[in-house]
Amino acid sequence: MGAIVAALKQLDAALAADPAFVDALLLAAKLRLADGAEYAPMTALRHARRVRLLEPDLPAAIVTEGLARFVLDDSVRARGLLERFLSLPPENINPSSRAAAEEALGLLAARRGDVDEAAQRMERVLAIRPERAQTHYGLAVVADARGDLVAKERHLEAALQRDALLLPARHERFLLLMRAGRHEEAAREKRILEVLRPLRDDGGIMFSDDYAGRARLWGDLAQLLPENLTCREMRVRELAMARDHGAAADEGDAALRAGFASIQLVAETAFAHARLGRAEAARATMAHLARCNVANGQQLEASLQREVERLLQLAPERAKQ
Amino acid sequence: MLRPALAFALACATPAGCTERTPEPTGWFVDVTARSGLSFRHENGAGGEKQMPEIFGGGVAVLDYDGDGDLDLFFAQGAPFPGCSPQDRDFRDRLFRNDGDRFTDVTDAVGASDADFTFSAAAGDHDGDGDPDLLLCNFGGVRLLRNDVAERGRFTDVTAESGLRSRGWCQCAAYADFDRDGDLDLYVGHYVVYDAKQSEWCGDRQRGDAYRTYCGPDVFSGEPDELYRNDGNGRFTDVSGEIGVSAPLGKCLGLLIIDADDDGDTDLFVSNDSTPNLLWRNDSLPGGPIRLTEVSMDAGCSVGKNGVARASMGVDAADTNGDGDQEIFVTTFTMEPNTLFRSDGDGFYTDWSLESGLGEPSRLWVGFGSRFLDIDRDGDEDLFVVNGHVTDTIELTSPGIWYRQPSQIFLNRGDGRFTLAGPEAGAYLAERHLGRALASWDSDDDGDLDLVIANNGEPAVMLENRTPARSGWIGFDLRGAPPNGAAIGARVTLRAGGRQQVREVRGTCSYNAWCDLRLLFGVGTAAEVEWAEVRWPRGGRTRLEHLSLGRYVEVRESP
Repeated sequence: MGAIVAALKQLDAALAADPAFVDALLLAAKLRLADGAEYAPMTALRHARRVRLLEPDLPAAIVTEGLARFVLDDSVRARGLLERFLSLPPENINPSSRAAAEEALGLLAARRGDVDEAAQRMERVLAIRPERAQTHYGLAVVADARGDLVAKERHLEAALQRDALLLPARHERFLLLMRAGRHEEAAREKRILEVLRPLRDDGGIMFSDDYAGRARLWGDLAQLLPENLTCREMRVRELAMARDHGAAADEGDAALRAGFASIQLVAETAFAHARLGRAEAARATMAHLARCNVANGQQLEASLQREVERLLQLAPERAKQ
Repeated sequence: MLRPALAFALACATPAGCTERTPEPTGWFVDVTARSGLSFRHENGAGGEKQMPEIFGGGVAVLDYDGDGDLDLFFAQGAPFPGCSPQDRDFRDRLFRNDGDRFTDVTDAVGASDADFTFSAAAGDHDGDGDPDLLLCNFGGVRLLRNDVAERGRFTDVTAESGLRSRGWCQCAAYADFDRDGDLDLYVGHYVVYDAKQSEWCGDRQRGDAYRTYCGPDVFSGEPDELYRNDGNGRFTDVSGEIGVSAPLGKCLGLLIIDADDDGDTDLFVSNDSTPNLLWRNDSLPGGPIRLTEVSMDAGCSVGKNGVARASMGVDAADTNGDGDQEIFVTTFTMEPNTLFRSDGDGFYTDWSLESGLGEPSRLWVGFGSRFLDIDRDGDEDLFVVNGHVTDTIELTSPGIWYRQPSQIFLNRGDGRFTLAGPEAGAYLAERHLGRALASWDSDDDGDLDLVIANNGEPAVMLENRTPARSGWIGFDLRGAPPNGAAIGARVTLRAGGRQQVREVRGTCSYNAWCDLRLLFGVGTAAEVEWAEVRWPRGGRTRLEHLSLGRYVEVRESP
């Protein structure tokens, strides 16, 4: 999340200097259409519109404006733009954008009751992005529109296997179980939702300074979803943000012992130890990076090691404060 | 074809015989405020500190306070906050007596006002003596004004002896006979914990005071709602804790009385601003203690389809798709679709906001008051929504979003999908206002619903329904057995022209409003109503057959 904020800051600065900087406009639009704190679809639309004024036929601009209008529920114009995008020569369309356009058009078709078109489009998306949770959620929406609850449940399961924290999929699964009379399963989903919702809902705790509160919720969620890595990562992170470095280190160590491993988990745990002046523990934690699939491995590891050493040097000062 | 003004000018080019006339306004809804003599301006008491209550407007209640057979109007008024100069501004709530061809301000004469910042008024007959009282929902508590006009010519403040002990931000109230013992219990919806002495600074500080604006609900904690049982003698007992309504800390802005599970008793939907909605299913046994169970999440109407709570404000319900169940409609904030929870039967709801056609056109607007009404009397219910933003700097910070916003009419295609009406709806729909409360009433007993709108910090507006009368109608004026003489909670189901319709008498209305309690049905091209059945709040039923059209039918509950 911090990387997106930093990137947008740079992009906004570039655009302040050159409002016609097309690449910056497109990237800023894309980042502002992504889920998260910087989600700002109206601003994304303005960026895309500006590009289209400068370069009306640029494929990236057409699809970006189309997707912005889709999330803003401007369905007629979204449909027109996205269909136009997909009619461009294939060499002008990258697979990721094609999938996004097909998915949006599929959901629009489902919404207006054209289930055949919806199903066809979602199958095309599945062929391009089979590992994306949102793709399977979209298939569930289409199955629902067709009245096929068996397929709906199957696709929701597939979505949640890929992203256990995908709130719309959790919510729909809960409702499906309730209506099917499967109350025990529904009760478990309800418990997950009651914890997950405030962590995903910008009306709740999500953007507050209550790091300790969020850490508690991530801990509750980790117990409900014991296989989920993100819960562990986020709990360690929020404990660190709450300056409870001892708890962050303990939680991180426990997660690593349990077999979880990711760059974020290793780094946050190592940093927590470092902030407490625990040099041996911090450096030993870094060894877990070997279990992570790291692109630019050596470079990243070196960067993280430097941060660990920097924190270790600061630690005695913090202890005095 | 010449435009009317030019045609008139040419026609009057010769002297004598021509008197100046303003062309008659056209459209489905025509602003008749000036002609009616109604003059009320809402004052939000703004003093420069951006106090949050200033954004919510005042309400409107339609009631026959003097029992003379026509409907009068009550408007809730704000109060000055620190820094507000009250000079030359009228901060009284106002009661206007309907004198047929004009409205007369009788506020002072009958004592129908208080000095508090009033959000809304509920005109239920709390003491069952046959006339509507006024429960004022204020910033700071509630005030109950008992209607003693017939006996003493005035309203009497009976708050102290009523048992109502509400404090804090009381946004709205709903009357319903939850325990089916005959009298009206009371649910008071609360908004947030708010201290006017410690106003927060919200907005873009870096850009200076010009970008200071009103805080959103996220800055504050929710305040617990309250439930009062009516003890039958004009007194209430607070049963909030034992029932559990005070547990969920929502931020209530709207209440809906509805029999959601079609089991004959009254349930309650609470629309909460940015926290999950509530659906209190009534599990009370007749005459026994009140038992409510919160089931919104299980029922599927607590949050939107994406699993996230919306900024829910005004709320109304209607059977939009003719399947016998009532959908629940809730207005929301910009970038959120107005929400339609489609009833799937068996107590389950599906978020059908976008599929219904109601969600997409609302994206740029902040909706408040909303009312289902059969505008064209074709037998299905259409929808009127008033809009108006709450962030007074929105046009600075979000170009493309307006502060003052137009109202919207959505026409039902007959299958529960809606289309947005165009300019044929009338000139008012093109105007931009800070729309808040919306009350419906048949002001002229002509079988169509007219509207009263209370805009925030603006004059109130009366809209007369002038939709061309191509279709038939019938209305029901239900007289329940005392003490619930208004038959709040009663349901009428009828069949006409091959279509079955249902309406309920609700002890609340949309956002900050109390509406005409009579039930009006458009019946399209049907020649008569084949049958109509009244289901009374205490369970009894009255069946009527072969009813002629074009009139109100008074139906009395057997004692």
